[in-house]
Amino acid sequence: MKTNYTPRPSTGGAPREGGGGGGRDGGRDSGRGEDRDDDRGGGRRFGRRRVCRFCADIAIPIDYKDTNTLKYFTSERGKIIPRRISGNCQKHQKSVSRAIKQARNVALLPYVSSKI
Amino acid sequence: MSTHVREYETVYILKPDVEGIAAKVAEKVTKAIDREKGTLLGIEEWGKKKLSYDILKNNRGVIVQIGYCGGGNLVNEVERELRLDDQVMRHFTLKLSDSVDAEKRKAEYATTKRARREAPEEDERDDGGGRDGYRGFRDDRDDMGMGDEDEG
Repeated sequence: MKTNYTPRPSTGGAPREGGGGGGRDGGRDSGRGEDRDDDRGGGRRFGRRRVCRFCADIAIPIDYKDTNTLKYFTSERGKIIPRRISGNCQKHQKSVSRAIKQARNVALLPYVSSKI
Repeated sequence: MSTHVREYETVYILKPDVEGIAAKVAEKVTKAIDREKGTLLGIEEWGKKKLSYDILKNNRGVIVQIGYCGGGNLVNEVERELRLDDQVMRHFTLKLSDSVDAEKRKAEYATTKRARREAPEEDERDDGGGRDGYRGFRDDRDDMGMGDEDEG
C-alpha cells in the first residue's frame, strides 16, 4: 500500500510527533503532513486499515486459556488494545476482550501490570 | 435415550505449597460430579504456574482444569466444593456448550484437549517496534504508531 510519493522529505528529528492525538479526526491532516514519518505514505490520513486476523484465519481460536494470543491484544500495562488499533472486527474484538477478562479472573493475565 | 446435557469447564487455582492437595481436591470434585450424575470428561493439571497477580499473597498457584457434562445443579455442587475448600484460591466456571452428547463428548475429549493445547503458536511478524521482547501494539496515545509494518 505504500506510495512512494512524499510531498516533503520527512523531518528526521521528530518521527512520531502527533502526540496531541488530533491527527485522527481527519480534516486537519493535510496541514500536518510534514510531521509524519514518510512510511505513512505522504498525505494519507489513516494508517492502513488492518484486516481482522480472526476473520482472515478462522482456525485461530479465541480462548481465555490461550494467553499467548491474548497477550498480543493487550498493552504492556495489561490494557486491552482498542479495535481501531488492533484492526479486529467488532465481533472478534468482543470475544477477544471477553477472553481477556476471563483470563484476568484466573490470573492468567494481569488486571494491571506495573512492570514497565 | 440420548443424553444431551450441558458441557462445562472449571479452572481452579490451588495454593502452591501444599503437598498432595491437587489429588484431594480432584477427588472431592469427582465425587460431587458423581453425586449429581454428571460425566467427568477429564482433569488436567497445568502444574505450578506463576500468576499474573498475587492471590491471597501467593504469586504462584497450581492450576487445574476440569471438564464435565451435566445439569445446572452440578455446577452449584462443584463450585460449592471448591468454595468450601480453603486450599482453593480461585475458581472459574464456563459453560462451553448448551447441548452435547455426554458419551460422545467423553470419547472425543482427549483429542480435542490435545488440539487445544497445541493451539497454533502464532507466527507474529515482528513489528520492529517491539522493544524488550514485547511484540504487541504500543500503548501510546498516538494511534498512528502502527505504520512500521507497511514496509515490504
